Amino acid sequence: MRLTVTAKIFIALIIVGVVVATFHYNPQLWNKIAPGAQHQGSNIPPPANLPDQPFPTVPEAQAGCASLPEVRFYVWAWNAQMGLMLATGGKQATPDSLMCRHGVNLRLIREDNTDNMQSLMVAFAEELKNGTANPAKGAHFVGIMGDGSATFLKALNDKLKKIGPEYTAMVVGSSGYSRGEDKLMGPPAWKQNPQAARGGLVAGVLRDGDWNIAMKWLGDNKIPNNPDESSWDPDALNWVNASDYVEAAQKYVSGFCTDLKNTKSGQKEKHCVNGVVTWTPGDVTAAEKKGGLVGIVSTREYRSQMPHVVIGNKKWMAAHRKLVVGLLAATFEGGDQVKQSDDALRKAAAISAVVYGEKDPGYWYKYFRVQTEKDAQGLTVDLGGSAVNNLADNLQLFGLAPGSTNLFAATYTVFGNIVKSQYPNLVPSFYPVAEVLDTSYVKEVATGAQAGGHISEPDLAKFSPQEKIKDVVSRRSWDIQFATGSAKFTPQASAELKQLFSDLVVAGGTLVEIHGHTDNQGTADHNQKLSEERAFAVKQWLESQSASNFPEGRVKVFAHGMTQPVAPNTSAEGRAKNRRVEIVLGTSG
Amino acid sequence: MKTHRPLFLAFLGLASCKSDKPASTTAPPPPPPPPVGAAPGAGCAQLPEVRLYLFAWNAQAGLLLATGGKQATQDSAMCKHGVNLRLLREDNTDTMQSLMVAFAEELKGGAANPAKGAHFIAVMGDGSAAILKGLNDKLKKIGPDYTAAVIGSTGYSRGEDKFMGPPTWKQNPQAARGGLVAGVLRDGDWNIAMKWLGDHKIANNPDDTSYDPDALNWVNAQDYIEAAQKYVSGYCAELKNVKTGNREKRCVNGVVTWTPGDVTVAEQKGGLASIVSTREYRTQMPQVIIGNRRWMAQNRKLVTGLLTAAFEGAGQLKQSEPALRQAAAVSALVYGEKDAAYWAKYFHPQSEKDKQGLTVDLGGSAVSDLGDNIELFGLKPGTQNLFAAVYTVFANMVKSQYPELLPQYEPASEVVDLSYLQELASAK
Repeated sequence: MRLTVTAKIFIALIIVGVVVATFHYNPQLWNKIAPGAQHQGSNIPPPANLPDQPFPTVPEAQAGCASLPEVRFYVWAWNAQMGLMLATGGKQATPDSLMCRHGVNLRLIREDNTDNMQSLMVAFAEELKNGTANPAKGAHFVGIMGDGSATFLKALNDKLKKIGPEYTAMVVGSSGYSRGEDKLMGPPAWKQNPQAARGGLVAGVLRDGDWNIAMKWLGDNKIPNNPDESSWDPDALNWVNASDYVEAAQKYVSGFCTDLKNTKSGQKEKHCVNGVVTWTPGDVTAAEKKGGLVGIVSTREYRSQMPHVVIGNKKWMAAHRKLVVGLLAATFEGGDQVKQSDDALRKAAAISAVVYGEKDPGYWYKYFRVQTEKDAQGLTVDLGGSAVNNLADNLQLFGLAPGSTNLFAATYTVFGNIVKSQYPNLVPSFYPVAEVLDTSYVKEVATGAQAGGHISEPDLAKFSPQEKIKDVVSRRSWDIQFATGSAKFTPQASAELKQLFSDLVVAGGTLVEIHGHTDNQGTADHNQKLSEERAFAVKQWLESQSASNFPEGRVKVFAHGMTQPVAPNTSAEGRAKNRRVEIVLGTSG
Repeated sequence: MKTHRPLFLAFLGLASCKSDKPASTTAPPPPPPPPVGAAPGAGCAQLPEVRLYLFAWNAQAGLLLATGGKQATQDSAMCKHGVNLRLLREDNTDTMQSLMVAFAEELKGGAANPAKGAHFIAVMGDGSAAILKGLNDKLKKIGPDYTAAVIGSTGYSRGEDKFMGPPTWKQNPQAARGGLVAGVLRDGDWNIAMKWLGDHKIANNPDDTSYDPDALNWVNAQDYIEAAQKYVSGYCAELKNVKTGNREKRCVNGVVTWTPGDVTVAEQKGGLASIVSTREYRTQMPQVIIGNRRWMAQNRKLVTGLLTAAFEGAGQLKQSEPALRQAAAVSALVYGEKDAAYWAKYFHPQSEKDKQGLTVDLGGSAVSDLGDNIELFGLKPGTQNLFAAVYTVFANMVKSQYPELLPQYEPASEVVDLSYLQELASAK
């Protein structure tokens, strides 16, 4: 029998179809017919030990522009000064350094003690008053924390004013920020429920920047502080004073206990340190040597609290504008380089080790960024964390950029007021920020940079609309007054809103939840709508004040109407308590 | 932002085509870059043409700045140093090898300066052992003095190449056991994951047809964009469980990739953290320049001129932000992809929020000058040859995982010619 062409094609199609279907449903057949590469089983890859790149070598002394007038800058050992370190190149401005290029023969000298810093500024002013154009003694500049500068400048300028009002000290710029390294450490229970910190005993340097962190956290959570270190209040956070941040950590590590008078019972009782305020390497010490404490809150969340500030003598600076502008320009350019290049950061770390005379370059390099490590008890802790500032960051810090606000003024004032409230006898007042801040030098640097086509990007906190708070830092009700039945603020709300604004810009690393609540007057629907409108009114007001500090995604609104009363609605007083705006600060973890 | 392809294919000499799909970014519009002509005129065309084929990679920004355009422009550092350099983007390492072979053949045929093929190619140092093994096996057939040698480096990957996975892997590396990662097997980014596994004593399952719940498992991707897309699209595969023998559906929950693959993951899906990258493994991925030994020996001045110009470009770029913007503008022109703002932005590591609100680090390169090269190749007495260490570590890694594909490789000392760098260093 002969098959027709059509039949042959039909049979061929059937055969092809069978073959295709066979391989489709049995793909392993391919391997049997045409075996692929044989794979070995799972195995642990061999160790790939990458070579370490050596840190740059920094000469102990190699002055690059010693023919120029010497400018002395006394600094702490602080990673926020990385840009300044890089710009200088060593203990004295090195050849080809940014400082020398900007005509500044800068000497960097470590000084940990703020009293000594003040004495150096006074000695400088006295020599200047005596007619020396560029004093050979004392400090042209000191660098400290912005949040502690109100107390520092109050004491210093009280002395300098006696020499003459034009000899006072002024803040003129900033080289960086603490961004995590300064922190309140406490038992994990405090992190889960801040109210559990009542009755705690914390070791730290009183009225210091780290103490400030705890003060803000207490305020944000409405927990009382007991400023009297000789007593113990079971309803407040209590303190053991330390001479420095290392001793604070050691007091926890050593299990320090003390007899304190109970403010309720009047009895002397033994209480032991169970919290610390400190900074790197104090946090590393607490974690490595004992452990058991977690970071409750730090300058990572309170990202604008602790700018480094450059403080100089008003009269000398006015007479040497070019040097001041050169110093700031070089510092900002150094900051830019550190931000942009890991190699630059490594060089700055090597210079830091030489200037500070402590630790090695690897240490400063490592803890410039936040390190998540396991402590001696296996708890996860975040250690270190700094940031450097360029020109754009300074424009943001001092409120000189569109959409910004004067963050320095906020932190100066917030923490000036805190010290004043806690220790009115020691710090009864402080100078208004306008009297201690001179932004004309930063502005001049900006003008020069603009003319030179230099682009500088600020490091702004970034948030995403999807982010939600996982770790709560604080929860507090605010008494923001609205017109009855409306979302319009009353005139009395202004002071409260300003306080809220300052608190939130200082805590610039946190997400903000605004929860609106009402009393039970009116219908549930009406109250739900009203609480939403009021919460939105607060959000919109904050965003209108500073787009940079309240970018999209940071503030979220929640309306609860009358569903979550905190007091009986049966009295006017109870209803007033229920008409509230609750602010929750936190991070997405 | 280089484009690799599977090294085993390079070794076997099998060509593959790569599709580069630019990922979108939501970066704010940066200032306009300095003007660069679409086809800038050659600045020293009267000189012999020297062709360098290269990936699209920010570690070459100094080289690009020194060249000024697709061909060395007037007043460029290249022309100043007597090098009429042409830069040609080539993503495919098989093609690179073919170009090196074509060049060697014409050289062998008597052409002093071959008009065909590549005088130089540039690849990743950590992947260079496999490439050089495949390439030099072919070149040795032309003649032993026609082999390829590494002569210098223009930069490093410093963060842009990375291993991304769920945040839990970051907190507890052992949680990565049973993970399924999309990536280009035996590639530089795969190297990153291999090192991380070795450091944490976690087994690797090199067989991408099976699934081992006690090891890290792989889905092969053709390129780094596909790797990212496999995660974004929720790709799942039927894999044989090595413990039970059953086929199981497993979905990609990790990626090895590089910029803009990481940007794609972050923007289009999110949810992955950077587990480890060349930011931490900072010496792993130097760019290396590879040339023909014979031609280079006969044209020493051109070779040292090329290196000198590239190093000067790197030096300028390190010091000056406008120089980076200029180099980025040249990059956009030479690579024919993205704009200057993109190359400038991702030269530096960017910390951004992904689609799920997680903070991720994206991008990050570095350029190398003469001092960096002296350090990289251990030219100072008493210092370590970092390149040799990296070359050997990752050659051994590929050999350990795929012994049938790379049974052996040439020792590092046989694939480098440091005489050009030494000449520059001694003249410093």
